[in-house]
This record gives sequence, C-alpha cells and structure tokens, in this order.
Amino acid sequence: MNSNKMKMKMKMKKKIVMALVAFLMVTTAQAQWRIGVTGGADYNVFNMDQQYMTDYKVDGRWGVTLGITGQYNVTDWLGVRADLNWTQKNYRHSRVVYSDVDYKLTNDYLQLPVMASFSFGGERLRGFCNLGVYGAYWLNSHRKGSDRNSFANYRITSFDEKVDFYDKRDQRWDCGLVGGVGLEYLITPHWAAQAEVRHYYSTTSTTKQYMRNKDYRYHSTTAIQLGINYIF
Amino acid sequence: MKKHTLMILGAMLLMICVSSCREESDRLMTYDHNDVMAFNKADSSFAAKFKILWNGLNQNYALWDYEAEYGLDWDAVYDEYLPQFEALDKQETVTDEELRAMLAKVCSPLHDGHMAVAFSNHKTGTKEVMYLPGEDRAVKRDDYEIANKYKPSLKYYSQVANGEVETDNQGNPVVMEHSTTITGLLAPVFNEKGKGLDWVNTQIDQLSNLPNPSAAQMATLQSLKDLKAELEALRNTPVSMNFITRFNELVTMYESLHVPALEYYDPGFFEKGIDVKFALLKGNIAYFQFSGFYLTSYFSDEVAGLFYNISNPATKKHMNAIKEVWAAWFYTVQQLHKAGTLGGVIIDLRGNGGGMQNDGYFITGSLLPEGGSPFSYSRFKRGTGRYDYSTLTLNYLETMPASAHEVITEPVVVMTNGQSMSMAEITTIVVKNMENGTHIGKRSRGGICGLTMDNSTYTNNYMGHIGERDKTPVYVYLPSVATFTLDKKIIEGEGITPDIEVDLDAATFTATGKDTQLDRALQFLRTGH
Repeated sequence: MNSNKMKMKMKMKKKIVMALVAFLMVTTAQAQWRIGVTGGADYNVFNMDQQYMTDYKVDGRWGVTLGITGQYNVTDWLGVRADLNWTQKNYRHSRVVYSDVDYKLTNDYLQLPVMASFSFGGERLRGFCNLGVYGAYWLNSHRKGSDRNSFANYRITSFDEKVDFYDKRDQRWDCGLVGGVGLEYLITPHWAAQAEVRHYYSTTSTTKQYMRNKDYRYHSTTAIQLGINYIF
Repeated sequence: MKKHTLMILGAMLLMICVSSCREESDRLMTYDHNDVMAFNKADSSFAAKFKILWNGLNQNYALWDYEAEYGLDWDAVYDEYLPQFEALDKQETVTDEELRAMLAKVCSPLHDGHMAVAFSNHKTGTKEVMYLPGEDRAVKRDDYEIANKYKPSLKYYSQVANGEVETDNQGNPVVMEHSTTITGLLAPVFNEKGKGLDWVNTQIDQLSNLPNPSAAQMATLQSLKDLKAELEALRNTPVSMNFITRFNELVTMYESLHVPALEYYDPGFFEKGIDVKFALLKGNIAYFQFSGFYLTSYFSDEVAGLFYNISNPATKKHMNAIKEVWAAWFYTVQQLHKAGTLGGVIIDLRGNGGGMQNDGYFITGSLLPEGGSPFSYSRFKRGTGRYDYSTLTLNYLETMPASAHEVITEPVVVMTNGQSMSMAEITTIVVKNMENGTHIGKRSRGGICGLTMDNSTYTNNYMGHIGERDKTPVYVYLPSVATFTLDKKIIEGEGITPDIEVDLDAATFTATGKDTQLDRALQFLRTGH
C-alpha cells in the first residue's frame, strides 16, 4: 500500500515537472518584448467630503498623460506591462453662491503602473485588458482662477501661481489600483497601435492625516490614450 | 470563451473589492449658529463645550500654520485637555475662575489679537466666562500699564504759553476736540462745575433759600431734589446699557428743568463713542488723534442710521462735532500743503483699538493718491481642513479721488502704543509703507487679522464665529482671515515695531501734561531726525 502510494506520488511529481518544462518551452518560444510610447487625455475626479460647506463644489478637469511603456508577453494572451508616465490629475473647486471663488488645480504626477495584460481576439486586431497597481509621485501643483476678498470691498483677485507643498499636509506619494481595456492593431509584424481607456483608482489620500479629524481625499483618473509599440 | 468570461468576472470582482480600499472622512459639524445638534450637550457638559471649541477652532481658525511655527500641536491640546474638562464634569462645583483658568490653558498659545473665548458655566449659572488671549499677552508687556492708563491729551500743548501750538488771527490756539464716549459726554453731568449735578445742587440751594417760594418753585425744587437723588444713585451704578437707558429716561423726565449737559446719550455711542483731537502744533504740524475707527459712522447718515438714533438732535449735534474736528484737520493739511507750508502730519493712534476699515478713506486715504492703497494680504480658509487656505488676495484701503484732495508729500508720523490694535495697526502699516512715513512710539498690540461681528456673514468664507453670543454655551469671536504684511509675513500677536521707539514718561505726563512720545514725534518733524 505504501509502495503504491509512493509510486503514485512519484508519477505525479514527474507529470508536474514535465508540465512545467512544457510550459516553459512554450512560453520561451512565444515570449516577446515590446516597448512603446503612449499619450492622451485624462479626466480626473477629486473625491473629498465637502462637509458643511454646502455650496462648495468640486469638479473634475481634463489633463494630459504621456509616457513610455514596456511589456513582456509570457503567452499569447498574458503579459506583464509597466509604464512610466507623466499624468495630470487636475480638478476645480468653486463656490455656487460666489462664482468668483474659482480654483483650477493642475497637478503633475510621475506614475509607474505595473499591470498584468490579458489579450484576446484575432491575429491583427486584438482586445486587451490591463489590471494592476500603480505608484506615483506628486511632482508639482499649480492653481489658476479667482477669489474674492470680503475685506477689500469684494475685489476679485485673479491668480496663476505655483502651489507650494506643505509637508505637514500634502501626501506626495500616490498609490492605487489601475485597470484598462483597449484594442491593439498589428500594423506590421513589428509595429502595433493601441487605443486604451484606463482608470487609476487612488487608494492614498492626497492629504496626510495630520489632524485628529480624519480627512481623506482621493484622485480617480480616467485616461483615454493611444500608443504605438515596437515588438521585438 | 470560458477564459474571457472568467476575465470579465474577475474584473468585476476586483472593482467591488477596490471600492472598499478608500477610507471615509470623519463627519464634521458647523458651529456658526445656535444649532441643537451641535450645542445641546454643551449646556450641561464642560467636555462637550471643549469639543466644540476644539473642533470649531480647528475648522475656522486661519492661523494654524503660523501657530505650528510656534510649536503648537493642536491635536496634543485635545489629548491633554479633554480629560481635564471631563474631570470638571465630575466635580461638584466649578468656579468661574477655575473655568477661566482652563480656557487660558487651552487658548493662551493662540496668537490672534482679537480672539475672545466664552463658555457658559452651567454649574454657577454664569452666562459668559470669558478669556481673551490677546489681553493676556498684552498684560505681560512692561508698557501695558502706561498704555492702558494714559490717554493722549493736548492739555499742555493747547496752552499758547507753552509755545507748542500755532494760533489763529485772534491769538487763539488752533485746537479742536470732541468726545462722544460715555466718559466724555457724561462726566460733565456728574463732575463738572456749573453743569449737571453741580448745577442741580446750586439750584436746590437757591430755591431752598427763597423766603416765600411759589407753588411752581416748590414743584421745581422737588423735581430738582428727585433728579439729584436719581443722579447720585446712577453715579454709583456700573456703566452699562441699563445705565444708559436709565440716564436717558431721566433726561426725558426732567427735560423741563433745562439742566446743562443733561442731554440724551445715544446708546450707539456706548460702543462707538470716540475722542477726536486736532491741533496745529508749532511748525505747522497737523496733529490728529482719535480713539477708535468709527469716523464713518459719524460722517455717513446711511451708516450712522445702522448704529445711532440720528433723528435725535443731540446725536446729530455730536456727529457734526466729530466731523468738524476731522474736517479741521483735513482742510488744514490740504491748505498748508497747497501753500507749501505744511511742516508734517501726526496721526496719533495710541490707545486706538481699531474699528471700521472704511475709516481708512478719511485718514490715510486723504494723504495718498487715488486708486486705493494696498496694505496687506488676506488669506481665507477654503476648506474644512486645518491647512486649507485660499491664495493671498491684496487688501486695499480706499483713498480719496484726486478731485477731493492733493497727495501729501510732507513727512507723516504715525504714533502707536501697546493698546493700538487692528485698524490702528493697519493704518500704521500703510504709513510705514509711505515713502514719507515714520512710525514713532511703542510696539503695537498685534491684532490685525480682520473679522466681522455679524454671524450672518459666516458663509461668506465659511469661517469666523463659533456659536452665537448670548445664545450658545460656547462663543468664540475670532478672525475671518489671516492677514499677511506686504512682504508676506504674519505678525499676529507680535505687533508692529516702531521706526523710533520711545517711552511715555508717565510721571512727567501726569505732572505737566508733557508727552515724551509726542515730543519725539515733534522733534522728528521739526528737525528731520
């Protein structure tokens, strides 16, 4: 009985090893590297609780995303993709009652999304889906708009200025989840064009929890981007 | 197909999972009005009062970054003092002094110069136990007593024999002054010979000594005796709105006696009563002193109507008198400037606690070019977070149009002491920013962050008051804004240091009326150094 069990175990082990070898041979045969560039527009929504400030309005704003990409395909349907991109996460906050209080924030981030890239479909036209995580660093912030001064006869002040980071308040690191879907068209055996809709879902508040009262603020950024890849 | 279905299902599952990756912010309440939800527990708990104070300041106070520079950790204040307020709740009795001492512990590090914090003491029934961090800071200054006790006076300088004052064609000193303060207007009723109570006593003596008084004289005598009793009782009553109401009742009741100086006192003057003084001092130096920035309320009927009973002739008379003193200064400055003989201007703001920003128009606005004078920046709260701030927006004091005045190029001196605050400090900043401006005296008190008394304006900037005075168990009077100097510094709680610092010699001032600070200003204008 024991020897039978031993034999069965040995057979199982042999099968697993053979399967692994076969898998590796296939993946090595199909493995391919690709690199490329991406660019497009993004729409960022800033999620924060306005609390009792009832006429305080936070709206999303469009921005730009530009980057480089690299992908290693493990199989014909699975690859590992990493991008390095400059992505703007812009938003606007304003007052409903006092329309001259209007802040348009432009925030530049350097992002590194790392994703599993699943693809499906035909030879030339394939769909793909990316899922992963990203880390980003808030490079700088700029604001433009107007404000009113109730101590200067409600004079309107227009401004267009860099926003200095405040260490106690601002969280420069941003991490979260990323997912996207798109289409790829193989132009030649070595060149492919991609169109993708991608969503960055931040799980890191833009403000540090510097107060006893917790105050969380998150970016949600949807990018529509085009890319061109060179396939080795 | 199966593979793709799995991928889609996986993606959907992932989306559900990620939505739980974000944390929720704490719920905040607003404390700007008498809201039951916000204040009900505070009626019977010191700990609840403290939480309102802490949260209200956390959300409304505009100087947190400045306080942090001074090492204040507001979260640590919560951790340290909440247990102490909870302990107060467990005590059988809590005196007003104990409560005030606790408020001092919490609020004394805050630099705002205007702030007033008031808790009701539900254990003693005291409606308002108040603590003023700015006053606490001022008291510790070595010049506090002098600044608080001695008010600018022209007693010495207005005497021609002392050689300090210019004279008119008739040889009279060019001096004008008027007061609408309760001291200024009611002191004669109680203390001046030939007026008020003294006059009543004289009349009583005269009528009492009449050998055969008529019935009318007897009735008058009785009325005078009644009035005397009423005034003497009132003299020993603390000055308050009740005092003023009673005083005005007496004025009406005894109007027929025509008592000199016994005239209607406008209750609006109780808060906005001011002393104004003008003198043309030797060397054609136009001196103007006023104790509060409420000129606008005297000059504009529209504004006056908000505060005073302008239909009353006595009120109108005093309004005109204040205006005449200012006008004498203004036209003298303009005329001498045009003639090329103006020796300088002194704006004496010692003891001036501030007031209306619009008054800038009549003071520095009459010296500077039209178009407004930038003097500082405002920074508002623009979010509920402790450090959510607006951009810096320039503050301007209005200036007169070119058609109404000429720009004054002669030297201008502004004088302050440790009780000069708020608009007095803003005016000082404006003068210091002038090429021909010099600041003489002692460091000002340090309360320049603007604020509004009106609770209804809270939502202008979502900042300002905590609670409503006389209605909520917690009330805090605090600035609606952080004010920065033009070089973008906050000086709240510090004050403005004079270009020429000089003490008031209290002994000399008391003995002779000679004012060492004013003398230094005159020396500067007469000699240039």
